[in-house]
Amino acid sequence: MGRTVPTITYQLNETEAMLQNFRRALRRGDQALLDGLLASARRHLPAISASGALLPFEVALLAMLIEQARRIAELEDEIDILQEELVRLRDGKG
Amino acid sequence: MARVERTGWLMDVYTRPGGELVCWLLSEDGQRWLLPMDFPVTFYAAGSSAVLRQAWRFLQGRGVHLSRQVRRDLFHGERIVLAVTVDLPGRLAEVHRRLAQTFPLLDYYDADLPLAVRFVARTQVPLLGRCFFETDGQRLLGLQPLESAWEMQPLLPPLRVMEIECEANPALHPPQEITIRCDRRCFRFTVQPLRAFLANLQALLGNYDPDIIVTRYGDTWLFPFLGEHAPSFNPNRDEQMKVEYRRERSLFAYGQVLYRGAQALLFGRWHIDRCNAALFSEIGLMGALEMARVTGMGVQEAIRKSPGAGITAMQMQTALRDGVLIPVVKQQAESTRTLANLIRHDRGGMVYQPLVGVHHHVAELDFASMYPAIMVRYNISPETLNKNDAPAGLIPRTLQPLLVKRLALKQYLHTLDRRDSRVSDLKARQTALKWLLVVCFGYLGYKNARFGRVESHEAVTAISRELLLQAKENAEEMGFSVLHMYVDSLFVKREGVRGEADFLPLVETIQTETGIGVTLEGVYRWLVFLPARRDQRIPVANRYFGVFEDGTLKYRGVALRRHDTCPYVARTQLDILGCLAQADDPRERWKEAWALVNQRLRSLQRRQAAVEGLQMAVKLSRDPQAFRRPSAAAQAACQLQAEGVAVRAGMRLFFWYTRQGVSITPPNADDLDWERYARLVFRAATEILDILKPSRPVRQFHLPLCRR
Amino acid sequence: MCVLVCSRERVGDAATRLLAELALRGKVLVIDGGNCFQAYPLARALRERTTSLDLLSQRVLIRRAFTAYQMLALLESTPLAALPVVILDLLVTFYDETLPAGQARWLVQRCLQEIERLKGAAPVFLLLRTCLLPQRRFLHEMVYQKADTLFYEQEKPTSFAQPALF
Repeated sequence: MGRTVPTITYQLNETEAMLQNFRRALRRGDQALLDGLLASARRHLPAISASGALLPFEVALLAMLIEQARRIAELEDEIDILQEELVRLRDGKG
Repeated sequence: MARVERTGWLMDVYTRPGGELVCWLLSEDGQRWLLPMDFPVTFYAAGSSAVLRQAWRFLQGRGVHLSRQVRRDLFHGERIVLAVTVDLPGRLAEVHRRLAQTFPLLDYYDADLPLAVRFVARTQVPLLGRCFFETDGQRLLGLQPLESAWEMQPLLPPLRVMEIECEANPALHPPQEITIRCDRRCFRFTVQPLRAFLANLQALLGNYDPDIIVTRYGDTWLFPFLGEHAPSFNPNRDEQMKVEYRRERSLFAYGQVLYRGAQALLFGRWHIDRCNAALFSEIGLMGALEMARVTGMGVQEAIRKSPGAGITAMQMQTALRDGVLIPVVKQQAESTRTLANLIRHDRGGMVYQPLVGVHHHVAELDFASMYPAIMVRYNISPETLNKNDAPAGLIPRTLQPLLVKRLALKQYLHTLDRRDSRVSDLKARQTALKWLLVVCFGYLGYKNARFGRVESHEAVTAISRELLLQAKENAEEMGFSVLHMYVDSLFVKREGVRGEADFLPLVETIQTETGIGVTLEGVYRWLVFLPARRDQRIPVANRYFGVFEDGTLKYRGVALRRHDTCPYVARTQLDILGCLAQADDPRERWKEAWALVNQRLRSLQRRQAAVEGLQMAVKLSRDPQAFRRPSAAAQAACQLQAEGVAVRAGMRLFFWYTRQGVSITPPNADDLDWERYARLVFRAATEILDILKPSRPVRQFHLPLCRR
Repeated sequence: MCVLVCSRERVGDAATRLLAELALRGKVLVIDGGNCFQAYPLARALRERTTSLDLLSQRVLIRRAFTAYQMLALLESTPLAALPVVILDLLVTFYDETLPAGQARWLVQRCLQEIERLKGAAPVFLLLRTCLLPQRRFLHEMVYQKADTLFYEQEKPTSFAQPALF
């Protein structure tokens, strides 16, 4: 007795399996990007589970967006640092 | 003999073939007593009045007492029942079987309870508990308790232990020699000629008169062998009894296939087979006695069965004391729910994926016995579900004293010096109680649990998830980063915080907010969370290794923890961790660790490793004929079958990898598959060291980002 | 009573499709005796057929049985109502080796009586997996005798098969 509904991890594995034909038809480079996106959702499994969504993949997409937003924030930070460096070099202070 | 009064211990109870109950008592003067006692037992039947009347007529004249009573069913409330009382407890099963066969429509209660549970509940004398008794030398005339099962420091009976060991696994080689230890003496006998061996064994049993016989392979070989070849030999203290044999079986429990070997049980003394007692290696004799004391199950049963059986016995005791009927079969059906409700509530504990990589000064906080504590605090019991302000339910009342006793033992242990002679016994007792608490939650949802219900199971996990989320919020409010959460523990760190004292305010806050005890397991000098093997970008729950500030290692989910890792590989991985533990940052010792691995690999290339260290141990997941591919375990199973050994699912098989496949007997160095072992060592090393590779950029996912 | 007998893997899929279609028309009660109710695939199947997923997910009512006695208790406690009943893997819990064959026969008989009762108010569908335990095959025979319609899915051939085009 006990749990009969599969875990969110199992459910996402199933969804990924269903996407295999889609993945096969992508270019190799795009396949790697897709794998990265799907892997990034795994960092938020408890949140996806806690949502209690009937269609957890919809929430997983949101998790992927969060990871994209994080990546953008990281890159923006990098750009800021590089720009500051560039300004210093241009002004001959470096 | 005149009537005498004694103080002593209740050791066990059982029924003789005639059906009468016998108490095994040990009095303070060292005398052992096997005394029959009057102990009528009652079971109940409920159902339609017409059928009950027929059942009454059916039972009349069959030597039972019948009465009409009103008793309480936990779920249906008060019921009119037919009470069937049998004077000889050993006859109850037969009377019930006949009645149930003739009247299957009736609901039956209290018909299949372990005798000891019934006895303890009625007399209030716990097994292994001190008591006062009266006897005329023939029968037990009176029995009174002098302590309860919850006594913190019980005085133990002076037990005589005999150990019997054979030199090899009888499944592979018929033992030639038997070693017997008792009273600080050691005797060696050859099994053949059997008559001489039996005479020696009988003489030792007579002279030493042990209370406990601890064996290796006593269940599966020694007693069945003696029973077959020397039917007149009786190892029981009670000469009216024969050895009770129980068949082997495989069962599915706790998400895995378990194997229970055949059993040989004695009367008037106990037999414990180290190789067939699931918990004995961990809790030892002290733990076994503690388990028997609190559960009411005999020592021989308690040590062989899963702790779940112990929890069931405890629940039965509570029900008997409360006058609640115990159904023979569970019939509570799940209430109707919608699809959305099922998806939202049928979930396990909270698992918060870790942040992969190396972390420093991490504290591990654990909720103490979280699930049982929730069941007690929130009154989770099948009959109190969705009821506010209900009186304490049957499950919480069963668990409360267990929780209190374990906590008290733990606290007492903390006050003792590590070298104190009492420490090992206290630890064993504490661990025995821990196992009961660990399984009590699962039993709430177990399909055959008498008082289980799936909704109460779900309620516990729902509350546990909420508590862990609360803890996470508390930690984040106090500026801590939560690195990982796993069901009842969380890993946190904060910039600038290092010592245990710095984490105590967080511990206190979580404790206050959640109402459940929280312990600080310790602060790691460093801790490494590992990613998935198949994809380094995916974090995996509960897979980590680290070293506490005092140098103690802790590791989960690595080869070292798996039962199928051979000792040589496990030793190598432990040595790697030991090497890393010397540094403030494990990455500093990456090269040294690899040097150690290379040394081990070279030893394997030179065939210098001892063959015992390369023995694999794998649990057979299914019966041998069900294997489609010839896995190593399947090959080992086939070899064992060829040797005439009956192999069943759940058995642990031992073998070596050889160039031809596997071997169940130690092979020559030339035959061993050294390359395969080298691959295993390499795999165990990369499992730990890959993530520490210096060139590897270890990414931290924290906002705001730290700028260099 | 309509009975479908198919492989274990197919019971779940067939149930998902049947339940999705029934839920489009109104409430439906599922009694699951073999842990084969697929919650998430059913949600997906509903979503493929409608945008009102929340509404439809309220129409699917579930009760689970984990032992043979619970199965009987579930059926006994199901009131007569005008909603179809889908029973999944009715017999799996009766394969339990600790349940004597005679007791299993008696329990199945009782279950079938209860199903007869339920049939009076609304259609009852039974989805069974093919019997793998020869010594309990008689339980299947008991169910087949009571069926109004019986669909028996053939085992798929294991030899080479052409890829399906549609």
